[in-house]
Amino acid sequence: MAKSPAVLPLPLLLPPEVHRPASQAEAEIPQPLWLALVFPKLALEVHDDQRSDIPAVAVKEYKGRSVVHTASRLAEVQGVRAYMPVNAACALCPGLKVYPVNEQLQHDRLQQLAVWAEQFTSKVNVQSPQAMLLEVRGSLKLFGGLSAIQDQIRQQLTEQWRQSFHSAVSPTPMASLLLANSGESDVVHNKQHLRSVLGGLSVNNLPIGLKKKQQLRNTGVRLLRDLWRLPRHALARRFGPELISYLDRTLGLIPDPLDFFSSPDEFETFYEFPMEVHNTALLLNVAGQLLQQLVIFLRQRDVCINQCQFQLYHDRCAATNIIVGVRQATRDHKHLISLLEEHLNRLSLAAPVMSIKLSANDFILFSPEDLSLFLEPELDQPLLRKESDIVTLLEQVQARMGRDAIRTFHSVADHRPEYAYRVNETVTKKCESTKQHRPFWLLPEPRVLPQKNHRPWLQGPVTLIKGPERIQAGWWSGHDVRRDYYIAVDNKGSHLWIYQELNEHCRWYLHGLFS
Amino acid sequence: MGYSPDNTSENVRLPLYAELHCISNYSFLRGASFPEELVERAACLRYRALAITDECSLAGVVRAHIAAKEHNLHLIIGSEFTLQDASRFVLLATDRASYGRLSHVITVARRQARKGEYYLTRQILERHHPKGCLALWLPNFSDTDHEHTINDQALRWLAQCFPQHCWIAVELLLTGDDQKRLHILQALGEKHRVPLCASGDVHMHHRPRRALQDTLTAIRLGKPLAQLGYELFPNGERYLRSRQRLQKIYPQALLEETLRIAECCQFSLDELRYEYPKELVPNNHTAKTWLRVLTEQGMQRRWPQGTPDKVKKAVEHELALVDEMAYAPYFLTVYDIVQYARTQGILCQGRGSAANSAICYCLGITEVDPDRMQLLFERFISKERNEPPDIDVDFEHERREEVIQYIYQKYGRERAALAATVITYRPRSAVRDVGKAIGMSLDQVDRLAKSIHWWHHVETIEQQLQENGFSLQNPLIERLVILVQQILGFPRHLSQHVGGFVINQGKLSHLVPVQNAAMPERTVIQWEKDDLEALGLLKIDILALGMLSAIRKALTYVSRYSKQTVTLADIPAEDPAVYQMIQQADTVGVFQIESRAQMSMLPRLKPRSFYDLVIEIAIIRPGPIQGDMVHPYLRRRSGEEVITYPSDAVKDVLSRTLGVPIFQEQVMQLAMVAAGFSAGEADQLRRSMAAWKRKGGLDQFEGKLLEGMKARGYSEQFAQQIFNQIKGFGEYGFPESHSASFALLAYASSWLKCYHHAAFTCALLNSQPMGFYAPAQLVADARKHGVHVLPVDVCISAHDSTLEFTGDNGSSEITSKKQSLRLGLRIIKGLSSTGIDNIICARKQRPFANVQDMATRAKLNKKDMECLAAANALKSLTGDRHRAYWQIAGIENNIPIFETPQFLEGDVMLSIPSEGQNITADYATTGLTLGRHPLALLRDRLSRRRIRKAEELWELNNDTKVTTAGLVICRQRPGSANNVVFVTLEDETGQTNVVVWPQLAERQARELLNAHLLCVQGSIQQEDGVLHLIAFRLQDLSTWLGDLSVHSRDFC
Repeated sequence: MAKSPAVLPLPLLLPPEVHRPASQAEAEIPQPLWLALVFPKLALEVHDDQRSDIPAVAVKEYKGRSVVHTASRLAEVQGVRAYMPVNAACALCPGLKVYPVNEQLQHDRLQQLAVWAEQFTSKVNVQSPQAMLLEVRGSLKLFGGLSAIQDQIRQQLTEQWRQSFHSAVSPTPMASLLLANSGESDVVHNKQHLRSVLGGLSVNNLPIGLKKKQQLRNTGVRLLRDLWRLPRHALARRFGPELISYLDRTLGLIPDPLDFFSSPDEFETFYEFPMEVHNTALLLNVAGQLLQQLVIFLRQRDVCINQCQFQLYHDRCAATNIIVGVRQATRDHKHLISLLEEHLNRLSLAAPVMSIKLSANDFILFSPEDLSLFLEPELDQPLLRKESDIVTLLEQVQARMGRDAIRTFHSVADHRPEYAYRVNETVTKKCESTKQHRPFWLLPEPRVLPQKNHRPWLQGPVTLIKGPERIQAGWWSGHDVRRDYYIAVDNKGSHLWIYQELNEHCRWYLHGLFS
Repeated sequence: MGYSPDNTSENVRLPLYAELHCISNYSFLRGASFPEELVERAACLRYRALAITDECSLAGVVRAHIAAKEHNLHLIIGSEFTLQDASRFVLLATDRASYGRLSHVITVARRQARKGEYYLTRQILERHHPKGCLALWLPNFSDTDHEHTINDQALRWLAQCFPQHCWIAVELLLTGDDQKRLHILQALGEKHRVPLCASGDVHMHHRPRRALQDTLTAIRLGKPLAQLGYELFPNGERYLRSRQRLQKIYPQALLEETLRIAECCQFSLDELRYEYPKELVPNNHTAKTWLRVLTEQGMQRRWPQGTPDKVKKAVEHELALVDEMAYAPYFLTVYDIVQYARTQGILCQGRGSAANSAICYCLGITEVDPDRMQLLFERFISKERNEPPDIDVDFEHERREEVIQYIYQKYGRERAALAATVITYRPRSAVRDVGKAIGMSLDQVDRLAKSIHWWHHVETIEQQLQENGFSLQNPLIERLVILVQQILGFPRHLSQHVGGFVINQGKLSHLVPVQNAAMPERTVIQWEKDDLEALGLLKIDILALGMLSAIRKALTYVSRYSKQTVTLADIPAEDPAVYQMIQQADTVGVFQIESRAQMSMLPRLKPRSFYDLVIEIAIIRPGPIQGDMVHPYLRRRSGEEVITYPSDAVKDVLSRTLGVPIFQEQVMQLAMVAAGFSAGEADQLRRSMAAWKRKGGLDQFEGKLLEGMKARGYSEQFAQQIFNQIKGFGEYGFPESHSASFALLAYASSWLKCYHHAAFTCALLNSQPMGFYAPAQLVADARKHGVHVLPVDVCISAHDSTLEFTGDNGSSEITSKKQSLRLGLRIIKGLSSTGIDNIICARKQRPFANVQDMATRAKLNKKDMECLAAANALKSLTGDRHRAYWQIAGIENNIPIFETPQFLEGDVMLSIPSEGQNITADYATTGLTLGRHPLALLRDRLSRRRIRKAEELWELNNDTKVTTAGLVICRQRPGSANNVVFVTLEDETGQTNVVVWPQLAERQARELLNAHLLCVQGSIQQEDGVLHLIAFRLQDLSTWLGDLSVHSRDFC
């Protein structure tokens, strides 16, 4: 009978109660010291136009409605709080600026901050969405003590980054985070003091769901101290073993290994020619090998690139830069080579080349979608699709002729003729066109026609042969068109597309020519 | 260039024309003009006729009909259809029979589809062929051979379907291909021998509606305008074009053909005749004799000792009038419904002008005793006005559906349906839809819409937007404002009327189209109340009233413990103790006279009799208040002012209200006796009164009224005063007959409150939501009056609140003093009804041993258990709330195979909840507390700030500056009070009425709208036992409450 699945596993989940061996060896290892940085307004501060002196909020969806996620200081002053519906916030705070929470921007900013933080220690851990941990024990000596580090961090974050933050220091990462999240800037050096320092914190600061927090409050547990009074197994049963494990990690009763941040690599490779090179064919050969290295690099990291850069170094004059850019991120060797070839063919070398460098950064995560559009040598059977061929072809043409060389038209559903087509660089959209008779050539701007005897005149009288076709549209866009269109013939027999404005001026315009 | 319709010499030369294809805004989100606008414009352009042909609908035709009569225009009734195969045509009714068939086809098409849609195929049309209708075929634009074939086939079919009755509608709309199109259609016409006629596919009455028409398209298709492309019309030619223009566009013959068609269509809605159901009359009787039999039976029952002569006379008089007007079947129909309710034990009461007649009292439709009421029933049906009798019947709100289903069952869906209510654009919905259409982001639209507050008037939308930081210079906002103003009042869809039933002897669908409502098992007709009234069709209002449920329940409880049946009729009349209670404004929970305005009037008016209550109910309405009738009445009643009448005729009308017109009936009578209005004119006046705020149109009466009164020797001041009162009445005029019915319920509920407070409160709690006060206030009031209230307990409480009898069970004398009110489980917020049922079911087997036992046997889910814990309903099982939560958190679910699992857990070190925590939780979970008032806990802190208690205010002199604070339990902004906001604050000693003038309301809107705990600085105004605090500063102290959640009831 004792096989109840809900009963059995419990004891296994519980770590041993007593943890204070204090063996000689462990005592000698210096305790780590974690500095936590929490950026409470990060969701707002990632927006560059977000100055601190306007009321603003970042909002997110919560239970199907838009609620405040982060409020700026000024918004808080006016009574805006987290989880308040956006409309309520707007009502409280007229002129409130509203941003959606942008996780990508936050992630990017945290990455940048992590790179910055590496100057203080090699052990930086990013805690998405808005915090990071720095292990600073090893850096104390170098920087001249903890307060010196803290001062530098404070100064740089405030002045350079203009980033608001809380920080706290303790021997365990979770305790530091907890303290910083509570807005406490404590420094706790010793694990033994953690209980007393943390005991007074509200359970609201625990990284558990809103619902669990509510449950804790419901049972009268307001502070961490109250929580520690409760039996572990009973707590685990109600709030899950994760909570127990979290509490143990916070107090340092069990280890809490973290992954450390490492800066993204930059690809750079260099080749020095044994002799001066005049000939682009040879250049291409070597460059192809360098590209091969790049492609291997990209595949190892499962990323691709939008562009890479070659630098050709000469003896006495400045280096020649070649930027090979693609329209869709790639790591296709052949494609890159063919693009480079186009560049080299157009290049006239100012001087012989002594050495060549290939560099690339800004890596983009490789996604299989990109794959379908390209000839992927990684696959056994290259995917050949007409569309991708065209894209490749277009890119090659553009690489040779310049970006402006290619334009495509596609029609747009709009009654106004001048809005009924659009110029694009690639063919993407399906065409939807009007059933009405439209001229092949449309003038870039309608041309005013002079009038004689209330009749339009174009180097002679113009005869209306079909119409009117009345077009009234576009009032919503600020470009209101109200015209009567006619097909007309001038005295040379050309078919014209002309219109008369439906306003007090009743002016005539030439808008197009039929072929 | 300009064409002037008044230029008659030119007019003569212009061709005549009848527009045969024109949709109004009752083709929802397609047509961009009201039917009235179209009719008026067509008349102005001197069209020979106009057909209103809304898509598969006749919803707008009655309005068009009224306007057409006014403008003397030949109106044709028709409808436009698109079949499933996309072929389109218009059908026009030629006579009553073809109208009936057209209406039936619409019904068939509508009933086969969801609400708002229709489904029509060739087969359906052939099966329900609308013989006699004329068909106008609407060709689709054709350019390809394929489309030609389709058009060809469609026309062939339609021409066969309507031989000699089919035309091709040639709609030339300046698309550039007009000539080509004309040629193609001429060829088609010759091929199939179908004549051609001109028509305009009209969507709006004049050109400037083009932008609105585009916007409606965008709203209909759910896309912003910029994305619509060719789904919009290329131009705005679909308007009622001048005949001059038509002359240029169409061949003369096509225009003339429209006149021939119009000539064939001679049907008018005036021909519609309504027939009452006949089955209610036994074979050997006519409706007239049967009504007399029933009335006499009722008289016997009402007055077993003999009917008073006065009543007898009244009955004879009424029967004669009913007979003359042939309204007997109507009374029989209402009687039948009420009779059904009686047999089912559903409490009901009639109201309305005819309801308070002696006949209705005899028939049991109302309990307003004609012997008690002196002056009401004389004019219950106006013969001169030819106004149909008006009887609304209120039923218990929880059981009205049974009555509705009875009606459907008795008469069948063919013959009975609900009237429609046209849902129209209100400021907020208009801003939302237009905003989306013109391409604003959802976020923006949301903010815009929310910035339009519930109390804002149409005219101030611009101002509101500006105040909320939207610049009017922004072209987007500019366009929005213009379009919103145009779209306001436009119909959006048909919904069901709250309870207006139309019952017919024959098939209803031949009278008016019937369609499906959103609710399953409901059908509505396409006309609303005003339409029915305009055509003289009768409807019976089957309404829901919460107070009837409460009274029925209270009477049941009282009957149970007093061991004798107590009914509404058994409540003793004119009990002085009841009036004493009412005079002290001790009326929390009582019907109608419980609102704060009513309460503040009661000590002044001091009702002493039933008729005083009738007046009390009618006088505290926006109408009389705006018309400045309250103070004169009070002064005259207290003797401060002499009661005078400008003439004997006026005295007849006004003597019962001391010379001050209070009821709607009096205003109409005044217009007749003092200003010489005919009965018909007075009736028109009444209709315009109801609508002038929206439409205007009272001006025409002003001159006539003032002159008429002057001619009869009344002073100009008196005349002006009467006119102002008429204006004030506006939408809010309250008829005496309604007031009398309401007064009866007000008295009955007061009596229950006075003598059976526990039962009364229990009934109110079990009929929630209803009334003006939340359970918290009802319970607090009951406790103040000595009712013992017991908390909700999972081991004892039933679903509803119940009465428990404490003390000696053996004693047969149970008085109301010994009762306790046990709160029911239903009062717990969030607790599911299955949860409640399971608890009660499991508890019946055996009492709960502990929380785990309860959870297992009652199969409660986590949420239900949390609700129980939150409401402190587990106290008897677990101890305090903290422990309850702790225990339920530890309950293991889903171990069905095993016996109740037992975990050995020692007592845990949980804190005991403080009083504040408990009260907070009480409010959050049940909305009421049996503990101290939350303000009592804050009193020390409040006192330090010199914030006074509510009861202390009464000891202060007028104009004393004082600060008080309380929970905001109600915010009101009556329409009559010029933007003044009334706030009711509550502390542990009572309630305070705060008056917030508009300037302050605007300046401190945040505090006013958001505060739960509001601190008010203001000055005292005390008069006749009524205290107001005129606020001059507000402060939001809500943070003091922690997360105490107090919800105010906001009324607009």
